[in-house]
Amino acid sequence: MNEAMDDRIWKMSEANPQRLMLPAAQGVFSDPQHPGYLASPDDSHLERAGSAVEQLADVLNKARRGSPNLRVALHHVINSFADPLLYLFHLEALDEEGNPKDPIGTGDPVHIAIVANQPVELQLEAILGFLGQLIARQQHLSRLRERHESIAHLDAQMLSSDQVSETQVIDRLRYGWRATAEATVAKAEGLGFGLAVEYRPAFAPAADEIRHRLPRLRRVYNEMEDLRHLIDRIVGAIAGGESRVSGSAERMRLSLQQRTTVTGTMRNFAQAMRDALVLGNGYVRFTETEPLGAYNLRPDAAEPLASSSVRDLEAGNELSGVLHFTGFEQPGTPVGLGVCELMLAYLTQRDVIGEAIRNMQRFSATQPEAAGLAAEYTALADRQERDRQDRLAALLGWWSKHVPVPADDLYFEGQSRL
Amino acid sequence: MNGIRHRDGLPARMVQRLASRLASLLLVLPNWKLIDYLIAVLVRAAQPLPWAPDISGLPTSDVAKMARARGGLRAIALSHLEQGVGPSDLMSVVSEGYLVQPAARLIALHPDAAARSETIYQSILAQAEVGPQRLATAFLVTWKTAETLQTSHASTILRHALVLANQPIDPYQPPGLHVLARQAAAAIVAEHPELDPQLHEILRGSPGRSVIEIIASGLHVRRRGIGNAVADALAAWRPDRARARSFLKMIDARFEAGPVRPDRAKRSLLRSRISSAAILLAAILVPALVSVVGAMLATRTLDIQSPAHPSLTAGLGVLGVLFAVDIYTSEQTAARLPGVLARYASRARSLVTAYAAAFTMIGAVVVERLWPASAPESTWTATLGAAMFVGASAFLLRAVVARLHPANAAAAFIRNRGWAVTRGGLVLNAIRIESLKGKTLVAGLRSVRLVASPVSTEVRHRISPRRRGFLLLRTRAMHRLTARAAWQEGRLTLNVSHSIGTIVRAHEEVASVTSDEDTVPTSGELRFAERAIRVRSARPVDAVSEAAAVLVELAGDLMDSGDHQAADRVGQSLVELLDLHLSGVHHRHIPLDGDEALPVVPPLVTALSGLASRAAGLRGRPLELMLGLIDDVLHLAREDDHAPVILMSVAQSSQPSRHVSSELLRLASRRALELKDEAAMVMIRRHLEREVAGGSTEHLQTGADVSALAMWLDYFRATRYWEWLRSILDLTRGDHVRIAVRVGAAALEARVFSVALDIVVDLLSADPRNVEEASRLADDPAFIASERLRAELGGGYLGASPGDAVSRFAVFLKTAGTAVSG
Repeated sequence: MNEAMDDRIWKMSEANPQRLMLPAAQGVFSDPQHPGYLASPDDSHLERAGSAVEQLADVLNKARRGSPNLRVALHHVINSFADPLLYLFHLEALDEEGNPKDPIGTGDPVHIAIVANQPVELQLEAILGFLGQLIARQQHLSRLRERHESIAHLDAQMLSSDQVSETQVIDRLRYGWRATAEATVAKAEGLGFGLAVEYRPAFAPAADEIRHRLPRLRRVYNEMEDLRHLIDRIVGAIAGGESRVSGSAERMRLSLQQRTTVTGTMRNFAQAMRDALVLGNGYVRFTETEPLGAYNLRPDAAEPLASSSVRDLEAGNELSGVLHFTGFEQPGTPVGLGVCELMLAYLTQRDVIGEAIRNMQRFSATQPEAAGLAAEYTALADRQERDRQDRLAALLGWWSKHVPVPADDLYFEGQSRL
Repeated sequence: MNGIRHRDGLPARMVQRLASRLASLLLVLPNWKLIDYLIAVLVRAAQPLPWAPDISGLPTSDVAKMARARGGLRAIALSHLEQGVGPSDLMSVVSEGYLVQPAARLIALHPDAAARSETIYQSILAQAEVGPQRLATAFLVTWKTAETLQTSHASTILRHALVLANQPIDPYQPPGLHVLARQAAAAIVAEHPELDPQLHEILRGSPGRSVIEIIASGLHVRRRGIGNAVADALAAWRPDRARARSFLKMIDARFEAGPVRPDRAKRSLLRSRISSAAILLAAILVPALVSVVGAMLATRTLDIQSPAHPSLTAGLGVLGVLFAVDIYTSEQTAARLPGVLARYASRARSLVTAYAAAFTMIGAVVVERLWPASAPESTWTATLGAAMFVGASAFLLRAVVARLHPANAAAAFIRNRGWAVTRGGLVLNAIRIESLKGKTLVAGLRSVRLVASPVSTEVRHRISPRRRGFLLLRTRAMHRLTARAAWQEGRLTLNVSHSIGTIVRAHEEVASVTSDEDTVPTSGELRFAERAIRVRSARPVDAVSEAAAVLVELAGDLMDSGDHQAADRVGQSLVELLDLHLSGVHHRHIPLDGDEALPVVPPLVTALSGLASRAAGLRGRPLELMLGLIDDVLHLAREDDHAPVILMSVAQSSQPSRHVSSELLRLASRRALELKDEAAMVMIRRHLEREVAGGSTEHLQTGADVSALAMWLDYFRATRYWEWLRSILDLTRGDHVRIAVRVGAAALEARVFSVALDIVVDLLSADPRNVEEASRLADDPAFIASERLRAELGGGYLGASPGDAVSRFAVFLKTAGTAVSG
């Protein structure tokens, strides 16, 4: 039982790399002449980034000699809310029921979302850095399994492994990304991994493909209090303000303002914004009859279409007059991804370690070593929680520094949780 | 809702009525399929709300059936109230959801208000029996016609609506009855102040969030007695400060200064130029034409001999006299008027006419000598030419003498040179557009940099223009330059060290080429770099700046000499000059992104700096006139011109007295608030803070005026303005309490209740006796009179009746203060 639990803990650590200090990142934010981070990347930038990532995938695949057994799928996202120093992140693999699964064991690809706002050069380096860390972690985990070593200090070991790998990648990048890519494939093959990399611009081109992720994303929001407060701050900053009606005659302005208050339209915007940040997509639809009102569409039952219309997946009809909000945008599709995806892996960690602790505590009365393991796992859980808090602060901490705490009545009554 | 829309060019209401009438006529025919189809088409056309899912979506047979039915259904189908169909008839047929909207519309339009009120009342009272559709109709009609409801009915409907409205809302469900009930309740609260005691009862029972929102929404649109109603509601509710503030924020009227639309050039440059040229041509041709036509008439029709025979000597003598007059008038104007005015004051059109008449006379004498046969006509022509010369000379002398008065000279200058002033503005408009393009171009080029000052390195190769003018970039040349290998590889860099679009002097370093250690730029590369820099002549704009400077000086001199009326007239010419120029500058709208800024308007800077420095040494009436002029100039400028910032900068450099400084800040802040120029307001607030810290009461009063005006013009920053003012006030001092009362009264007048509450709380926490002090001030005629004057000068922030405004705030302070603090 212990081994099975350890194995799950190892797996969850496979694809959670730390931030890389890459050469292309030097001067990106200090040199005003450098194109640097783009707040709103245009189509030409997305096209350039797509073709560069595709080229990198091509080089990696061509360099492989054996058959593939470690698949990686690269996707692009456009970042509007997280820190500009976010280069890429791992999209947790979930089965059709929405439960975590091990992509490497099942032959599914490890999905990586690359932040398209970054300079193209930096994106390539970040991918290579990630692949280097992924392989190094695989190597380390294999060694731990072979030796039946304790996983109580897995987090520190992974950090050390990441640092070694990072140094190696940065060294190799002096010879260019092609040489680094070829060396990465060679290293993977040396360790028994046949690296197969594919590029698909959007992780989920249709809303249907992320519907199974929504319950877990809701859990992330409901169970991680610090994240919830940050999300609420973002919502408050964007949709929690007072409605602003400009122009027109005074009487008309007063009347419109009154209607937005009476019908709670601003709360509909806040609800939709929260849905977008947590689940990826949020919708506000305006009624067509008097008096004008608004309501939200459930992200589980809506497929966004172009030009302010949405398909109601339950009724099967098309609805017009819909405002659609997204968390991370995906190129080539109106479907968005939730900002809470950044914390999904931590929820899995928390679940797995929590379950391990509970199991150990159950057996601690009869097995003396179980009590010791429970204590070790508890310490690991504490460290993971601190790591999660640090990462959250790094990725979304800006909002807590610059945006006030939202009003208590940001959402409708009874809607403080998702 | 039933406003006139245009459908295929015809007013929609007319189409609807016509369709309704035609459908009524067709109803007398038997119910054949074709007739029913036509009726259905007409019924659909008669529906005034095509965007609503009303009966127009029904099948043809059902629509025709409705139209053929009698009573309420037919009225709904035809969208027309028929004789004998009352509100209850209409309400009784509402059995399906699609009938709710059209039925509610017709009931709301029904002229019998008492019957309507009764129908709604009965429907809501018997809500369990009538079903959701009729209930929805009743609430919709209540929302539309709340003001005509009987008080007893309104009271019952309000009670029922609040019960329904208090139910929890599922945001993922389309709004249902509860939203209609909320709208209806809010409308009753807005239109029935007599039901306030009922509201107070509800408020005393600690109602839920929905009820508070409904009451706030109703008060928000109430037209009269709003201040007292809000205070009484707070007194009944007695919430804590946070809840009270949140309640008042919902009632606040959110005024903000609207965007200022750019002007197109008020006068077409071409038309102005053509009319000016036409007048000049007429002045030249009229003497010759009149003389020739007059001569023909006299000799051939009237057969009269010329009374005089002008000789060539006489003609040349006339020309000589004209030269002398010309020189004399030029000397006179030059001696009495400054520069550019003198140049144009002596150039009257009558001078051109006089010259034309003299040359006509000489020409006629020459023709007479060469062709003696034409002697009668030529002699007459010469005589008439001489007569016209005398007349034109008289006009010339009169015009020149008149123009020796500076005010006339200034007006004549604007009249004659208006087109050139507008042209200068159009030139600057084009330069502004080009400068933005230049900045965008540089942002996309790695080998070109904008630097604040010349690069301090010895190996730079300087680029300096040969003449004065506006610094611009040549797009194509810049692309050609940066496409060259040395620039693409980053070995060479062009550093532009002067702001694009601003005036540079001849031989001043505006850019430089720098290179890496291994590269020496060739002369060819340097030539390419020089070609990428362009300097456009500033002469058209300089001429306007010169005229503005002259007019400012002239107005100032006249003020100093005590001729205030003439100074004011010259000042108005200056305003007209800037108006013409700025209408050209604003001719083509230039959309700006983010922090982009346009080059300043040099004549505006000249005028404002001149006026501010002149104002610095004035007091009394001359100062008032000068401040009035500055205000006029500020109101010509748009946000992109940054006039308040310019005035701030020049006012500081002219070191005015405290009084003048505070007045200039008041003008600048007022305009900045109107233009929503927050950058200028930040500067102004800092300046005021510094002066107040230095002990200036004048600046404190100006700060109070600024905050009071902000209540009207910038709702979304109104709280911050009070917080800022509060930080420099000591509310235990009587004079500072007066200031707080002023701003509080302005906040109430502007219906910014949340800020008025903040002021109340601050006043009470500083000293509870401030309640009595405010009441005393409201009854103090001297205080009211001084506040009236201040408010009028500061933009009328205390409304039409400053005395009532202060009284209302005193009452609000007492009632709301007790409610929140108690």
